[in-house]
Amino acid sequence: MSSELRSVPERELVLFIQRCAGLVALAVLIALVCNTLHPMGLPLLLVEVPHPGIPVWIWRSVPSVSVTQGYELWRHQSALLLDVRDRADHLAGHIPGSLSLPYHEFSTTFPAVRDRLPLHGPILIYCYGSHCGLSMRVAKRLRVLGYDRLTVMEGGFDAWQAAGLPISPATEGAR
Amino acid sequence: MTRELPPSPTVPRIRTLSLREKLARLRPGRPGRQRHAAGRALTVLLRVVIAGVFLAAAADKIVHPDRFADVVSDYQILPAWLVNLFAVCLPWVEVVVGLALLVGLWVPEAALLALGMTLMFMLALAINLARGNTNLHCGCFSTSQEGPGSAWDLLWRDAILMVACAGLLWATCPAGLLRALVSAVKRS
Repeated sequence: MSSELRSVPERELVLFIQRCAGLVALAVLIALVCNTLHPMGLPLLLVEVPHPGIPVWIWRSVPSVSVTQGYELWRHQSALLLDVRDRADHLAGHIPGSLSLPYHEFSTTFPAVRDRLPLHGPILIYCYGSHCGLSMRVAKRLRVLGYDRLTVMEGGFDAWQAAGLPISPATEGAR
Repeated sequence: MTRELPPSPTVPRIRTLSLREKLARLRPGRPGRQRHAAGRALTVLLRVVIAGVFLAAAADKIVHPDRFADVVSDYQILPAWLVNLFAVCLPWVEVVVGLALLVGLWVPEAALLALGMTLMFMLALAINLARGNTNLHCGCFSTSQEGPGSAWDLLWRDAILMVACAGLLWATCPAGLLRALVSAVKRS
């Protein structure tokens, strides 16, 4: 009798845990289905896309270039350069002619620079360094808005500076 | 010759309830106990409020899974390979838990999951506070990364939610099961 009494809460506990697992399993199932249907659905394994938070189609549509290639684009003025670092860092020094669109102020700054960003023209985005994901985050936002010729410069401003390429301390672009 | 004393008159004793018994009366989900209207109302209120919080928190994360993954990534706690999976699944766990609480299905289980999630959020905030990162983009109700909030404020907010979740779990979970649950947690 006592053993039966003792086993009741244990049985309840097992059932309780099973129900908890059931709720989580249901949520995961719905999540996986919705992720495949969502236009910004994410790859669950970082195989093709090495960074989290980037849908595969965006990764495929936004190529990366080296600093040398970026310099060539800048020299021939064949792309608009977009600096997505914070405003203070842009003011401290940036690639000459680049436009400032800080990632952390995207919603407030974008309306001001919208007219200067060509919807179907080449845009080269750069941020801080090689591990800076801000470029791709801004590219993601712009790609959704219809900008279809986006490129990210690998190495960012640090690599540009390290290569001894021109830097403008004066502020340009959107202020 | 002994003389028997008359029996003393029985005085009705007024038994006062102990704190434990008073608390037990407030627990509406506990079978075999007196159900208290105020306790039931409080439980419903907690269910609706917690469900509302979790459903509201999930909405923007579901609309912008990529931005939520960025927020999760910025916490710098999970390894990169786990961020997308976590960002995709967490909002739906919040939805399922919120709906379960709202409709009253498996309430103790949903309350435990809500409590677990809240503790997880608090831990993530605490880790960043310990790192000296006091300005965080919470990602709690919005995936926007503009205008970071104070981690201390977020921690206090989560602490209130944690108390609410714990209260709901205590109010709805059968006593024997709650004891078994606590002892299982202690054992683990």
